[in-house]
Amino acid sequence: MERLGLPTASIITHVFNNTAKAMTRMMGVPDFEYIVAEHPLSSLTDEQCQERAEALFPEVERILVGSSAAKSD
Amino acid sequence: MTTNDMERSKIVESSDTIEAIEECYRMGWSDGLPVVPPVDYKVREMLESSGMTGEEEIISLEMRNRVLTSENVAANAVMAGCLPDYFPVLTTTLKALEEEKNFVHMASASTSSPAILMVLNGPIRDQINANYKDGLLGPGNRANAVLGRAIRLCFMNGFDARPGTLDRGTLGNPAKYTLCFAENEEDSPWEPMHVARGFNEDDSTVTVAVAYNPVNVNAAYGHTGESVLMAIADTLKSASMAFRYPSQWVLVIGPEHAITLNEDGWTRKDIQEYMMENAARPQSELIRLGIAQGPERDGDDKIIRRCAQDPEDILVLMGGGTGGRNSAIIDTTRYKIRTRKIGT
Repeated sequence: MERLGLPTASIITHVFNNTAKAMTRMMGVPDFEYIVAEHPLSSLTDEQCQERAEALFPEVERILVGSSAAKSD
Repeated sequence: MTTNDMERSKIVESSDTIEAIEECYRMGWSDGLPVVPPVDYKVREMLESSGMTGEEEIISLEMRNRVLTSENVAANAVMAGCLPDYFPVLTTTLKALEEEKNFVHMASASTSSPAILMVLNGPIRDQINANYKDGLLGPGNRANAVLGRAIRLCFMNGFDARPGTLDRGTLGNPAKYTLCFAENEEDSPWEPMHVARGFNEDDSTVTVAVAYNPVNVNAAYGHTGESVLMAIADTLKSASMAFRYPSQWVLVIGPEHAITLNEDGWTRKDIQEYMMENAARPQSELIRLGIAQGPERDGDDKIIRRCAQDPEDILVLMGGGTGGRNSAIIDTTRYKIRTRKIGT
């Protein structure tokens, strides 16, 4: 999607880190930045999921637009 | 030995056959079992039998930046132990998979560890001596054993789908070694599966699914067709299967079950409709089992989740040996099961 000009913020959970590294190498972008969240996600409650998303948001914003929510606080 | 364009590809000189097999291990080209060294003349033989040059693109996976040419597929086919006559089955299967790209990735990567199911119908079954009788889901037949193996080797060597890195199957799945068999059309009380799916009886077809391991239903003591179907439906209702609702299913009905069903007048359509009606559970139960997302709400006990969206999503075929009263359920993913004419 980045190659199509669409800014993206990719999120993985930490147990998939080696897979993500292998993917970026295969795609020819070994330095591609992605966000690493704590595993697991699927067994979280809705509230826990919301908390996790809020915690990740500044990183998502930084990668997408180059600034951070923390900065504007 | 040569394989073109694939990572880990290399031309290797080996002094003898045993050493060549060991070299294949060292190159990481194996699924764990010994492979046939993909010597150039065997790869050419495979390609020439299908009138291919080696350059044709058979399947690609953009998110891994990989394209498998006919030469790549042929090299893996040789390694798996395929004969040239098998090659069109492989290329047809890979092209059928590529029709739904996301599942090429899913089938090579998912934590749920799916395999590729191939069911053969029509003249190809006997042309390559595929097994549709005793032990059709198990070892002992070259075509059944090596066709599925060749597909997996294409995934492992072509897409780097190796356990723990790009294949993230949590537990793996023995069906990943191979899951290929044929239908016993001659002894089936029903029309061949490919005919039911719109093909001519003399068409050779492969039905392709992204699927899991077969689950045996040993309903030995029921004397009626309905008792056989009750046992199959009860298995389909288990938590390990109901979490996929609605899905697509392949029911391999063993010969003795087929005889009982036929004697009681059960058609293929009847069987499909029975499963739709009886392999179903309330949403509330699925939530309590943790296989559907909660929280449970009022009225969830009235919402009935069925095993499939459409009766045609339940494929029914006959195969196996006599002497036991067994059938099998093969659960599949959301990849739309496809039947394709071989070699087209």
